Amino acid sequence: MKVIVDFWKVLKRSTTEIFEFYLFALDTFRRLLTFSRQKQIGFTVLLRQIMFTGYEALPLISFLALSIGGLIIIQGYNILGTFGQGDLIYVILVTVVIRELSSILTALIVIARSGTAISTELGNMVTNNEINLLLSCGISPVSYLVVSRMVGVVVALFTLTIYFNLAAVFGGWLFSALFSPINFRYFFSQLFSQMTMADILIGVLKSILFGIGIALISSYQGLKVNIASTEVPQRTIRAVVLSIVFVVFADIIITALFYLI
Amino acid sequence: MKFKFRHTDKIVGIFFFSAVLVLVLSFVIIALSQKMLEKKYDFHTIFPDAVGLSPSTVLKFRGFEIGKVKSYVLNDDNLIETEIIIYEDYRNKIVANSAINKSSNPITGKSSLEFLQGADPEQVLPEGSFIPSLNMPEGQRLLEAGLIEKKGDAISSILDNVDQMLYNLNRDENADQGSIFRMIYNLANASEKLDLNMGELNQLLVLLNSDLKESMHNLDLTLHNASIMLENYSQPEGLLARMIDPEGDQLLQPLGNSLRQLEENLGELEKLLEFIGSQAPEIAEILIEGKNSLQTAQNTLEGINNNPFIRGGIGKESPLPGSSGRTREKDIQP
Repeated sequence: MKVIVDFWKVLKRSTTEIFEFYLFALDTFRRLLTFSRQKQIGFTVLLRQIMFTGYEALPLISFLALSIGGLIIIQGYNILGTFGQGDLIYVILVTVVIRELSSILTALIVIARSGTAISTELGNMVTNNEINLLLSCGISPVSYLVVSRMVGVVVALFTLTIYFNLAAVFGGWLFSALFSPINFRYFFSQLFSQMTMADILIGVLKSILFGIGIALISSYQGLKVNIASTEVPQRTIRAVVLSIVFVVFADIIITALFYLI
Repeated sequence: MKFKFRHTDKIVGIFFFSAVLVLVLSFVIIALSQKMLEKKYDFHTIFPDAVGLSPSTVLKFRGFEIGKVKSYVLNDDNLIETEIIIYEDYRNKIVANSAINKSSNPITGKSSLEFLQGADPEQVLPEGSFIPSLNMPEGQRLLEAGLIEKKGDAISSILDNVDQMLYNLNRDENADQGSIFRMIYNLANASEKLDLNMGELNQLLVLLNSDLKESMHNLDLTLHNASIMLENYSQPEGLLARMIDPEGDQLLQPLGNSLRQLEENLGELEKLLEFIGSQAPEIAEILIEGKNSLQTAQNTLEGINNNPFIRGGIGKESPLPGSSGRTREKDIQP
């Protein structure tokens, strides 16, 4: 009987939290529509968010993309070349790197760097009563803190995904030139002949959706801190876990929709 | 104040707009490489099936991409109506009596389309015309009439020919239906018989080899004895020899000459036996008789050589290895 009661409590709490998150997301989108009118409030926050989430993550993203692109080209050429299907490497690059890995790996790095930072920062602001101060001044914390962060993460993730693709393809070619040189012109003409606009647009669409999800989940978890500073790391961990789950499920759904359509 | 914070707007601007520029450039390159901005001309064809076909399957003419499949649908006659777009640069290649050949790669499972141009390059087909497929009777008629020449890669050509042959052999009205299985059955029977014959031949060769070895051994002994005898007769020491032919010119020299002749003849006989031995199994019996004759000749020569009047009589015969031809029987005796 106790198990059923506990289960009911967990279910009720989860449902309430989902509903609250839904209302929070709705409020954020509503305030996003008026963001351009009150950009003097959150514009600096937005720029700094893009700077932190995007620009400062660029070296790590480039390094990762370079390694993955290089490894796929080298390994793919060696394996596929043995049975005369070396040209399939371009299909693999487009399908694996541009359509799938670029957005999901970038999102995971953004979760690790910025998702945790957003959650921690907002949690600490709650415990320090800074949120109450904003409210007392008539400034909506969602407009000032959440909307600007969400736009910042989306722009940063979108930009980083493009740089990831660029580094994986161009850097991969450079990396592979050390082991098995491939003519530059031939490489890129083959790559672009296999690539469609839909491949790039899917990556971009995923990055926008992931950015919205990561920013909303992290902000919500940060603002859910009540009083104690010990809640901050707990909420941060929860933000990371939920963001990763969201990214993976969203990726599966978008990919499935792409193949169904 | 840190450089990054003083110039945040510029850094973020460059960071963002560079990425947008890369994105736009990518779209432009894709559009150019896939000829999206070029004017295209629609044509259509019919295939018997859509195996390996996709909306982006390219149409090639002499290795150049001249167009691609736009769309395809299954019509009421269960045939695949296919819309094909031709790029502007190759518009005038689409002439009357042209055809399209669809061939599938057995490794990748993808189909490739090859355009086969008609003989008259002046008769350009209007847009929206029907281009027959070689996989359909209309295209086959063009091929049979010699209006187009089919050229495919080696593997595709072989597979097409095999496919055509199998199709012909399996047709209901084909008189040779089932001929492949009959051929395989006959081949299996022939193989089985050949196997049996090879076994018999092998046994015969083993026997022949054994007899030949024996005969050659006998011949060798005979020649050896003849050699000793000739040496003896060249320096006769016996009483009778000294009595009846003291000079050696009446009896011994003619006998010596005869034996030399005999040696030469035996050498010829050896060659003959080798030749015969390699030619026919029926001579096994002759060889056995020859062996016996040679044995007798050897005994006679040895007798002459060891005659008490000339030498010391007939010596005890030493058994020859394998002379009985049944080595196995000897081996198992206690």
